Amino acid sequence: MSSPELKFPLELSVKSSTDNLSVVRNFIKSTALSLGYSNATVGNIILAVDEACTNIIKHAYKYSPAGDIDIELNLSTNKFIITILNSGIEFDPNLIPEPDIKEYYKQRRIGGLGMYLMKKMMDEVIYSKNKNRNQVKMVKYLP
Amino acid sequence: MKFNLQKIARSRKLEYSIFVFILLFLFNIVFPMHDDLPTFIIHEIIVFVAFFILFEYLKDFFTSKMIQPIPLVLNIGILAAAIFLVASVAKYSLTTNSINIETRDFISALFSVLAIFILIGIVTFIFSSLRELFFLRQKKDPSVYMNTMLIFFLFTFFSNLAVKIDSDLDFIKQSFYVVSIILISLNSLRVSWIAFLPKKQKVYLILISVVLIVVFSFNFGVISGKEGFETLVSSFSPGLLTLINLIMLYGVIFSTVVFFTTLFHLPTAEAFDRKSEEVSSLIDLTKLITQVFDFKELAESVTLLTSKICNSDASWLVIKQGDEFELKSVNKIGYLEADELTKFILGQNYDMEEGVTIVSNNALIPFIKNTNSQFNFDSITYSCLMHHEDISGYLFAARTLEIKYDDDDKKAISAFANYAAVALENAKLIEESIEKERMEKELDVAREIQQKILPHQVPEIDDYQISALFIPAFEVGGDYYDFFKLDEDSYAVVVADVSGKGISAAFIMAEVKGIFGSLSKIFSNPKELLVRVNDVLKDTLDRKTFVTSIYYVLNIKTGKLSLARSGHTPALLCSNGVIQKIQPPGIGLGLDYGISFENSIKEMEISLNYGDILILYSDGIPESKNSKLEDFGYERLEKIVASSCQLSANEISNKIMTELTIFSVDNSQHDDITLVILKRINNNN
Amino acid sequence: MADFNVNLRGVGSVSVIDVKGYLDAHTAPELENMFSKLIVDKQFKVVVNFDQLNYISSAGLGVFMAFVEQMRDNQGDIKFSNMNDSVYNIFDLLGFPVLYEFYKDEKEAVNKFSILG
Repeated sequence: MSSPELKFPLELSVKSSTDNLSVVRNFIKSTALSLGYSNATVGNIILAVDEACTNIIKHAYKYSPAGDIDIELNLSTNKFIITILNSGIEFDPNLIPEPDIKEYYKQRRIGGLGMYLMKKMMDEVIYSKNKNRNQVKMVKYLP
Repeated sequence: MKFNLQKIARSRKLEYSIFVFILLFLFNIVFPMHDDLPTFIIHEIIVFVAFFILFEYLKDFFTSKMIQPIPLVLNIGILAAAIFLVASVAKYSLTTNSINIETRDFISALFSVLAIFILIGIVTFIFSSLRELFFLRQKKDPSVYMNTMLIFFLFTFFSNLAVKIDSDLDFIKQSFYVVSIILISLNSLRVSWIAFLPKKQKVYLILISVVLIVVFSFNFGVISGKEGFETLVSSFSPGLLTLINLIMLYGVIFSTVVFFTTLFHLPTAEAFDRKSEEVSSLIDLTKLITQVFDFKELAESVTLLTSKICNSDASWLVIKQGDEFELKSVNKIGYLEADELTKFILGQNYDMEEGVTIVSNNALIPFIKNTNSQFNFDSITYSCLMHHEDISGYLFAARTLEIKYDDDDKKAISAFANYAAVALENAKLIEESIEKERMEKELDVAREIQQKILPHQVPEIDDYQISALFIPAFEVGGDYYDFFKLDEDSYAVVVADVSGKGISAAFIMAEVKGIFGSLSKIFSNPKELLVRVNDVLKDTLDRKTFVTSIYYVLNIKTGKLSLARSGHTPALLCSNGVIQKIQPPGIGLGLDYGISFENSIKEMEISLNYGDILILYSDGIPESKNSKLEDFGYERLEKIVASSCQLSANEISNKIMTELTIFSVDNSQHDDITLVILKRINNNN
Repeated sequence: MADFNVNLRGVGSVSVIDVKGYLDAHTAPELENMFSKLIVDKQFKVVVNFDQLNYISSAGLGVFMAFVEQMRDNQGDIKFSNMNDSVYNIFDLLGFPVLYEFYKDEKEAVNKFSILG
């Protein structure tokens, strides 16, 4: 017997290759849609997770495709919680400033936009360590 | 006279006041000059009575209102300023127009009388207000002091008579005046209400009191000076002048006392504010305990009040759930941040002195290093929620500014946590008991439905023994069995199991019974019947629910039977001690519809010889568990059946149940058990 | 990858890039190559047509940031057209409308170049 209801926590583990970004997006998309979010909100959640994973691939694993990215989706009262774990290089989120597009233009520096987008797209974002792994947790309140 | 007056209703007092004032007015018209002693005495008495009745009326007027000290003080200030205005205007008009007071004409008499009436009204109102402030927040009844003062005011008022008679008697007036001042000073010290004001109002009060001191002092100066205003009032009634003089003095002394008292209270104002916030939060919580039974709502209120109680920028509540602490509500902090902070802080294993502790900025540095920049708390305090000597949760409060939590905060949050623990535990119990009651009600209904659905007796058929056994599980599973007599020669038997438990399973069971009952008479072919049943169920079953069933039609003459199965546990056929599993293919009802369901079902023909046994049962039997959580299993069942082929249908049923009971003695039954045994016997033998 | 496609068209002196599908960190290099090629070919007037683009992440946005100055230094520009709302919202959120010109229609964007010479 197959039940149409999702059983949380849902997990997805991928290698740190940009190939897998679309896999991650599809995983998030199907789950978020079943939680009743609007299409626009689903798009936002997908983007936030994409940015988080892109950051991990770029900064934590320096584009090495051998790293692990583990995504766990959870439901709590009124909240959809996305936890993304990696074992790469730790990075200090405090060092990344809020982006100013004009400054970027002047300095010709690209990047740092991802974290800003994550914060904008989600209700809460927090970075921490979990058993020596780097953890990003994001929350979107349920509709 | 005074006691009588108190009994008179307020409206009557107003009538009396108006009456006395009219009398006073007429008196002044008739006797514009009242220099001779009798008229002077009568006039003085009327003036005092006018003042006193108005005062009595205002007393009642104030008791009918909720007294707030600050507006009252403001009123006094405004009225004192009004006197100032009246005095200035009077002084101006007296000096510029140089009205000769000795030769009053009618107009000027009217003018001065009206001015004095206004003056009496204002002064009386000020005095009444001062009296209200005097009575504010007094634990014991201080009216005796107030009354003594009033009596001395009366004495001073009428001592002017003595002066009138003989100016050598001035010392009488002086002594009464001095005693009055002493009494005024003593009474002015009753300002305990100041302590109860919030800090903001205290600051405000200091400003007002300064203004009051200035205005009253000026008024006092005007009244006691020898300027025009003084002469005007004095010529009207010397007693009134003395009275106004005393009341202005009261104003000066009182404002001064208020000023200094408030000033001294100011440093402790914040502590007082917090204390009163704490008390009101506790009162709020007590209200919540009795009114809010919804755990979630209560948890939200608790965090909200926690922020208030210890003047915090954020607060959150975690409750023990099994072995873990679960974040239940947050106030002005993100869920993730609160969650991470809780894990970090509880991981540090702080010493909880009396169930509460403070985490300083330094201790938080390693945490801040690891998390994102949103974090900006400087000091965190948290308290255990205790339930029967166990920690049932924690209440956290955090400040962003550099005001560290101190011992007072610790006490406040810990006291609050104690109440909150009780309230939350209470709500949890109520929620649980409501849920339990609801479930019990539901179970009762479900059991009742089940009882009505199942057949009350087994059919009696020649040459056949039929045994039907049904044991409901505590939770009421969805088992169902039934017999239908199709015609003289054939009977149908069905055993079905609805997925799910409780009342919803019971309702579906009732529906399944109806469908099988009506369709079995139309479709004699088991496969066709199941397909039709599935079609009907399509409209009623939701996607999560399905029904397994096994159905056969028996020709009692020939012993031939045709059987179809839809996902149910296989039947057992025992022939001469040999067990055969009857398991034709077929998926459960409701899992798929139309042709794919029809294609999945295969019918099976069986021929029962004498002594052969056909057993239908529900998965409650093989899935019964022992204390080690091992299944009873199919093999054990088959073995029992094989060894008891010679027994009657009832005996076999008993034997299976005995073995099952022994096996699962230490484990409660989780699912319904249904066992329908058919044995063909040869009665002619 | 089939998820993303870039196609170059010449409209007069203006190069029009059609982007299609999903533009993320994986597919952004394809677009980057396209821009590098344009620089080599000295084609500095670029209109990017977003009509068929479903999705963009910051990696995609970065490509435009990386090349726009070079284009402008050579009297060219990168202009955007035919963007759907969800994609535009991302550009908007990061403040792109301050620095870039957005047009509803590709023609409009192309004409803007020819008017200015």
